Amino acid sequence: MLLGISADTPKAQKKFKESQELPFTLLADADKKVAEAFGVMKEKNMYGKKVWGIARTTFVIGPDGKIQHIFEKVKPDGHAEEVLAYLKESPKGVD
Amino acid sequence: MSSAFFSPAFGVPAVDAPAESGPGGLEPVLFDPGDSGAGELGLVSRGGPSPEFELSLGFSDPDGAVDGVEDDGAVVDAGAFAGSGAVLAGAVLVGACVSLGGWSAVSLFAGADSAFRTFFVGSDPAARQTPVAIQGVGTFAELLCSALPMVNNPSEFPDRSPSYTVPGSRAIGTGSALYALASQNLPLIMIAIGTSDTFPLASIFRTATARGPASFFRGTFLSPGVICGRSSCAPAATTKIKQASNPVTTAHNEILQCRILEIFGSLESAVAAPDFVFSGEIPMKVNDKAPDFTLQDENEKEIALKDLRGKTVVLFFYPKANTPG
Repeated sequence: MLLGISADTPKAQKKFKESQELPFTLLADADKKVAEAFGVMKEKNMYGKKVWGIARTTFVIGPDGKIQHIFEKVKPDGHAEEVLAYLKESPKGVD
Repeated sequence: MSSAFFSPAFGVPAVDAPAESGPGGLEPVLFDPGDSGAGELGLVSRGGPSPEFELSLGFSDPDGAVDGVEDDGAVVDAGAFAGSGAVLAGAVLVGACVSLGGWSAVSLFAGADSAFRTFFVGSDPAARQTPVAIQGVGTFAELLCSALPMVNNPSEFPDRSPSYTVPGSRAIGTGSALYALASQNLPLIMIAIGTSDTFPLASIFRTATARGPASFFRGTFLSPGVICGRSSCAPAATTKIKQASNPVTTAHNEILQCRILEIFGSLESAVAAPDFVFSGEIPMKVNDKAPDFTLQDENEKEIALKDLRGKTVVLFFYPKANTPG
């Protein structure tokens, strides 16, 4: 199960998903509660100004509900392959 | 601790500060820039940059730092200290700390020293952008009363350690480093005035959020003998902080809200009582239980993580559209 999560509204995500033809579910975390719960809120520098936002982070959550693996500082490019490679090696596999 | 740990700026107060000073018999230092605070300010201002070895002291165990977010340990992490207001806040902090003797000679070493110095270089644009990480490992009491607050080069700080500041505000010094300082013997108002505005104007107060490992906040603010923002090793002061509520979102993200009930006695009428939100946030680690959540998907259908038990879930966080990152 592949879940994307961001602070966008469901509407914006529907648009995003359709425009990009994304084959996975996008979740709307508008108040960033989940992002905070997972501790992925980070301070970023934007044009020298500090902003507080979600850091690209990928969690692999095992069937037991425990975090199995964490990809931090995710770069958009090539990340899918990275995750797929991990999952292939993982004995538990992915649904 | 060898005396080499003390910078010249802090040499005198550090040595003079009684290590075993306890509560009672000590007058709270009220805000008075003309008094000892200004004196210490002068001392600190002359301190100059710290030698590298001082900054890197106490960073002998980076791995321990990563794993330090446990109940019996605390990784204290401060956000950026910046803005001209910081100088004022720092002055009061230093003055109060030293005058009250709340800082043991040990705890006053490089950690506090460097933290303060960061305050005083607040006018330097480069320094303004530099977060200062304060790190201490041990029980909260040790951390606050006698342990070593460590200031490390941000670049040395482990990636996994959270960097916490006040989101989207001018506020400075709302990181837990200041809490640690404030907890020694200082009214938490010092945290509140961490803005670039002039103190004391009620308008500068705003709700401040600070983040850090929950263990730190729990230990600091919820332990017996500790009222919010003060540690049991601190003498009585006029500021009282109350834990107003605890809207816990998950075990890993505890939020404490505190309100200043009384500020500085005579200044009370001049200052609105601000709320503080302490958010103890611990980054997840492998083998942690994933925090449960229920969110709407793009079709506004609710998805709950617990419904996905038995499956491997890849959950990727990405920034909101049209934002950096």
